Amino acid sequence: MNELVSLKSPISVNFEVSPVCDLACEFCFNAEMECKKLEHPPLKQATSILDKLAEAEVFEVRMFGGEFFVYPRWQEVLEYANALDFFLSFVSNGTHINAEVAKKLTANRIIGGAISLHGTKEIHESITGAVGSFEAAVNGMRVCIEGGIGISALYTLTKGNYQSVFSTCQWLKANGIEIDEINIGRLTPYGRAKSDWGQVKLSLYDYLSVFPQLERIRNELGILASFGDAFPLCLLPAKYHDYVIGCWQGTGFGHIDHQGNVRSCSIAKGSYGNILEIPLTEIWTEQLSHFRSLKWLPVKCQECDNFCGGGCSASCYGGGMYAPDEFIRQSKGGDYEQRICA
Amino acid sequence: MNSEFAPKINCRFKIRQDIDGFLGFFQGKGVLTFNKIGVFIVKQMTGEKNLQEIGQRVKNAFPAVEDPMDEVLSITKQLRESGFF
Repeated sequence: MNELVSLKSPISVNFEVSPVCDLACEFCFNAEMECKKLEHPPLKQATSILDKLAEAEVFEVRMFGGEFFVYPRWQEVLEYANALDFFLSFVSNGTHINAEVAKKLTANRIIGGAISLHGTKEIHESITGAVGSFEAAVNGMRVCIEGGIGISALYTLTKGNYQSVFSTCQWLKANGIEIDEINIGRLTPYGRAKSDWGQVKLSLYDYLSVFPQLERIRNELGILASFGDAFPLCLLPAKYHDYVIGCWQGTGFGHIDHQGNVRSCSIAKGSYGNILEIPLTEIWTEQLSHFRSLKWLPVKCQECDNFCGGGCSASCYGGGMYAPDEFIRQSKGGDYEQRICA
Repeated sequence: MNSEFAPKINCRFKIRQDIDGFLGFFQGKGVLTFNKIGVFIVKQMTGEKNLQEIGQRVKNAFPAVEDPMDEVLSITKQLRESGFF
């Protein structure tokens, strides 16, 4: 039986410094929080959370949101975290990153980060709902790269962009934006995407059509292209298995929200505890034991020799923290199988 | 491998003791697991000591280790193959 390894604390966390974001992406998993209307948390809250992460010897902190760079005191957060000797990185919509910002990042020993880009100009801006967000994001990428910061482009798939992954990378290449990699994210039934999930969700065949594009991006453009989220390997041709980075939620990766709540995934909601009240090591070793046992997965996943984590928990509508991938089917006897997720 | 080679890890890294052994985080490269001797060896890889000298230090610090040089060479080989020097 497969089982996930227990570590005393995450190796890497996404730290949602502030839930506030200035864009309104059509699929945003945080949308129910109404990110534009929220208030930024006090600096003391962010630094207290960083102290707790340092106590638990977390190695890497990825500054996350909301949008990290709209937090008015983001520089102080970064300097505080750097003084605690974390390996630092960021996940951003890129629109607030200029050459000055990039300098501040390198001054705090950041050598890599991730910027969301969900298509070419028209597609990206129809998703973000903000005119000018494409140029701003691309400029953010450019100044980071010029400043020596490696950039991963984060591309969340939608019905409107899943056929445009290659053309987006082709555009970046043609315009001299030398990203390190493109990381494909799954569309998940949370936040804004949840309300009309039946209409917006991608089919298995939509997903499978993305992999040949990734192959072309690698072969023709020389850009590392991968699925950043988990995907059921049993449904994917073997030649694409190494295109799936997979997910290490609940073992090496954790998410800390702006209030200090611990999750194993940045998308799926819920909390295993709050690190301002309980040490992270206690939460990580004790509260996630059921998750790591994998007993919540179908038996065929628990026993699988080519274990992929049961795909992406966050892809399952209404699944919460303990759910197999939306495309995983369960045997109901004979040849009959049905999807576990609605 | 030439015992005069003085290995130096070419990235920022940190090592922590975990539930089962030690974990090393190497910036931009990844995560490796070590035992106590492995941690000692990696921490010697500052570019100032050659493999022979590191082997001698392992021998002094861990007298029970049967073949300290073999431990040093084994870790050095893995790190070299993974582009850590």
